[in-house]
Amino acid sequence: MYDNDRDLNSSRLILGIDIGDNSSCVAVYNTAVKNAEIVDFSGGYGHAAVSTMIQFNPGADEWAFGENAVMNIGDSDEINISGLVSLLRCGEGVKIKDVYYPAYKLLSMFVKKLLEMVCYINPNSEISKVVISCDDYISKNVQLKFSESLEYAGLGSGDILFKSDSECILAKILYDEGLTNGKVIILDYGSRAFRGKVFDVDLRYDCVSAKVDAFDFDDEIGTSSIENDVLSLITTYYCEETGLREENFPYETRARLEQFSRSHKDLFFQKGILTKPVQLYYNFAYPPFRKTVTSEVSKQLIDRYRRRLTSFLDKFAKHNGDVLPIVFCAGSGFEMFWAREMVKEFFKDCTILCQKGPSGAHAEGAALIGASAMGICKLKNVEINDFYKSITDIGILAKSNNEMKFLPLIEEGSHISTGINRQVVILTEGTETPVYIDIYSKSSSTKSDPKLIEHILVPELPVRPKGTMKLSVGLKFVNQSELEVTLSDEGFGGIFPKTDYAYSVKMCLE
Amino acid sequence: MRWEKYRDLITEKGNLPENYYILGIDLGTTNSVISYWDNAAKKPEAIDLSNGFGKIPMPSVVQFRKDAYTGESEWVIGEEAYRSMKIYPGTTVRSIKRLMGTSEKVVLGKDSYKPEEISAKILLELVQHCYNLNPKAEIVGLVVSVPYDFDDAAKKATLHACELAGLSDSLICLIEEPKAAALAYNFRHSLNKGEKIMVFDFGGGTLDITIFHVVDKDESRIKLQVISEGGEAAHGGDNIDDIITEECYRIIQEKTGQLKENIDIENQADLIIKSRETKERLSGVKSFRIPFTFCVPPFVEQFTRDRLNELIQGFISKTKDLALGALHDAYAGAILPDEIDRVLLEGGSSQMPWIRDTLVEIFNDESKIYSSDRPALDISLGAAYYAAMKMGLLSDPDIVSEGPMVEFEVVVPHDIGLEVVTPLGLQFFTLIKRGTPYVLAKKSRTFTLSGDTLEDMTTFKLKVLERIDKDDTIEKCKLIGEFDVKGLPERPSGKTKLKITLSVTEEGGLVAGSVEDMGFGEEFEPSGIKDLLRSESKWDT
Repeated sequence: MYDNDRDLNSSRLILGIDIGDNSSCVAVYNTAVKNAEIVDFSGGYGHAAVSTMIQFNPGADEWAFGENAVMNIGDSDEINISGLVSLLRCGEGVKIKDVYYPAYKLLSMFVKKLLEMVCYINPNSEISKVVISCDDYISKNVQLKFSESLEYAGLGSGDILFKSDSECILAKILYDEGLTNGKVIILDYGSRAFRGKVFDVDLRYDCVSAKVDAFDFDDEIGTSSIENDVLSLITTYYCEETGLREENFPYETRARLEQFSRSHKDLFFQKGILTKPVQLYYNFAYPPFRKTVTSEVSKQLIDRYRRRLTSFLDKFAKHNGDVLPIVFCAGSGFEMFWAREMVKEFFKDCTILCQKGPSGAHAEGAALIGASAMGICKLKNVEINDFYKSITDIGILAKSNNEMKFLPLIEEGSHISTGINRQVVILTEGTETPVYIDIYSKSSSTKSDPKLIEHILVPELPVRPKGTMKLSVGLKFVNQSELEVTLSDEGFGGIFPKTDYAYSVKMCLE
Repeated sequence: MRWEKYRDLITEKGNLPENYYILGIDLGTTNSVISYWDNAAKKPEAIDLSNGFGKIPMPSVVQFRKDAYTGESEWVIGEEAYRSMKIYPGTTVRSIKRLMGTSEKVVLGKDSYKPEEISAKILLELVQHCYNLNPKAEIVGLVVSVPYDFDDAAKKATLHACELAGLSDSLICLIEEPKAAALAYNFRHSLNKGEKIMVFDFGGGTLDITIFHVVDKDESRIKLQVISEGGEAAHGGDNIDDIITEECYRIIQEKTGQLKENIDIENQADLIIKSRETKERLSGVKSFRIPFTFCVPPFVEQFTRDRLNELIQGFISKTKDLALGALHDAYAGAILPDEIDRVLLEGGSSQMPWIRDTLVEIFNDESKIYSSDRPALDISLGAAYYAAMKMGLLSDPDIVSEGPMVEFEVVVPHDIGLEVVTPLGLQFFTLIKRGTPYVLAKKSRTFTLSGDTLEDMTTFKLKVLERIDKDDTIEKCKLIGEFDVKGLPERPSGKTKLKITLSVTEEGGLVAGSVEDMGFGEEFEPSGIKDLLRSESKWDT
């Protein structure tokens, strides 16, 4: 431990890392300026964050990471791997050139590259502490896998600390001296969902206590959806101009359009479009052409997102009653000016904290927590009481190696916003007889037997003999007391091709 | 109102009013950056041109468009000009910085423009982004960066560009880019007393190598002395783009038989864009495929990093020689690689892998090579920091987070002297030697005037020159100014002694001077004639 910052010279690095499914951010605690600073992997040329993607190019026998991987998509027969944290959750891996790469190893390769790039800033540095800002309450099991991947990347287990996104944000507000007793709303606009949390904050002598009063999320307005809409529009323009049909696009054209969309999407959402139309120059087309995009087009694009966000914020504003909260905006979605303006409008009498580079807030908070843990800066511990998480494992029973096993699809401690988790099972009986899927809950701490919580009749399955019906079973939270079960046909090798059978049903939790 | 008056106002108020902006501008060959001093955060901050999406550097590209039907015209500057180069190839101007200080003009349509006129447009566009940030902004002070190796003419052209952009009153001074980079770096990292640091600033247009010695450091101040400089004005990332472009032309000819001169100007613009993309992509991956879609038949060419390195082998060797040259030609004698404690990579082009490999080869120690965390922004941030220093903002004892105040002992980068007639013919006579600290850069010398006619004794032309490379002959020296000295007293040949004084200003490194009649011993008293050496710009005195 260090008594004060003079003892910590600049060769010791304290890092905060936020690894998202779409992009990742690293912050360093800078002892010279006594604050956390985002490491700008672009060198100042664009987003400080880096795409969470790794890629293998068989032709060059080379791995590429981050933006280098993204820019390379479509150039050859590369294998692109994204959503590394989701892969970790599902326990899936990838086979490349007859070598199986489990999820933790893929993630470790990505993290190792990030650390390498950070160390270029000071090649004599040693990493003293890494704090990972993770999706609120990833389960203990996923946390273990995460730890494993970080250790595989060369970090000692004692160097790693996990903190939830909310803890990191609250730590940041606290450090910047913006935290007071009362209500704090954290709005997190990420790639998968828009999430909001209301905290009741109590600044105590030795810690900050933050109780979650309300939580909600909308996974239909994440920035990935907006990016898909932008891509769709850009592709439509291309088809209109060239006369080509999208279904006939070669892979290279599709990849080129995706790259073009990625590098130009911000033009649709900058404030400048309100006063002057934006020009898209399709230089890669032959012949090249230009398309004008007006503010009307931008408005139409975001219209449904605005409507959904309006009803979301409306619900949220009601949680506060008469108390004026502090509102903190985090996540890359707040780079779009319309999202910032909406929050300002909704919470016009409140203190709104929306920093430059909102996507870096989690990583900065994480680095500050790391510095505090090392005794470099004084920061009270943030203790969060949050009941929006699963209190048990929820899953199915299935036979594996002649033994009935409980397969958790939702893990104890995981947040209700975690998203869908799937497991593929093979039915032992034919589908001509009624098929039931039983959902169980099990406490991992008490080690009791699984308890049946729902008995679901699966209707109208494709007709298959026994042992040939491969079914994907998925579970996700709809809200705190409701789950959605989704089933889909996975086919059975070459004998029974995959159909578009899908069934979903909601079930209540006690 | 001039910046000095704003400085006095700020001192009087004791704070920086919200709408007062102190700026630092990096006017780069490929990209330009504008930063401002954020007094609330007590640090310089680069202005995000994309209003939240983090795109900061603005391509230094200027384009003139004229609608063929309506006759309406407009200037487009920055990102959009770069993206639309293929559509307006004949009226798009890039890398104007390389022409600064030359008499070359840029022809766009029927009109021609001096390089500083084009630069002024870039400055105006950058400043507009400051107004986008805050429509009520008042620009009270500004520092603009120039390469260390910029000659006097190029510096004057930069000043002229500021004048044309209406920024004369706010312009505090020019700052050499390595100085700005060192300032920005010191702001966020600790430099140690006694350290020798090489700043390797590899940008789009230039390579600036400066070696600093941290001569003194305590809690409140740090003093950096420049002990060597090197590099080259036209040696940057753009040169690599050009090499790749030429290779593309060769490939096209080989594969399709089409000659360079037969390729449409739009497609030539396309190749320029593709060449830059190839260079950037090969910094991150080992191979990249260039599509030649406009060729008949169209084809794709595989480009590997090894192939690129082979192509630019001569460029790499020259870069190595320049780095070694900076070590070898240090002002006080050669410096060994072992004596350098830190090599700091700055500039957008410094991220190419071969740069690091070359430097590791020279210094034989990977742990000496430091990358700046924001190599594209440091010069502008450093310029903003320097501007804040000059405006008196950093003497506030409450500003503890930025570290000690920085003092520079900067030196004159090139020999400054006169063209003199000797029995051996025209020679360069050094008055101020390269490596002279600016504080000492005022030298006088007395010459005897001789001539065949009376006119020769009363008027003559004085040429002040700058010798960039120490081995340059007089023909290669750059002309700083040619001055007509008139009205000297009528005296016989050899009976007039003239004291010629030259000085170099610390702020911006501009040359000024005077000629004074000293009479001739007891025979002729000094006439009292003293002329200042003036050229067109008002900044030379």
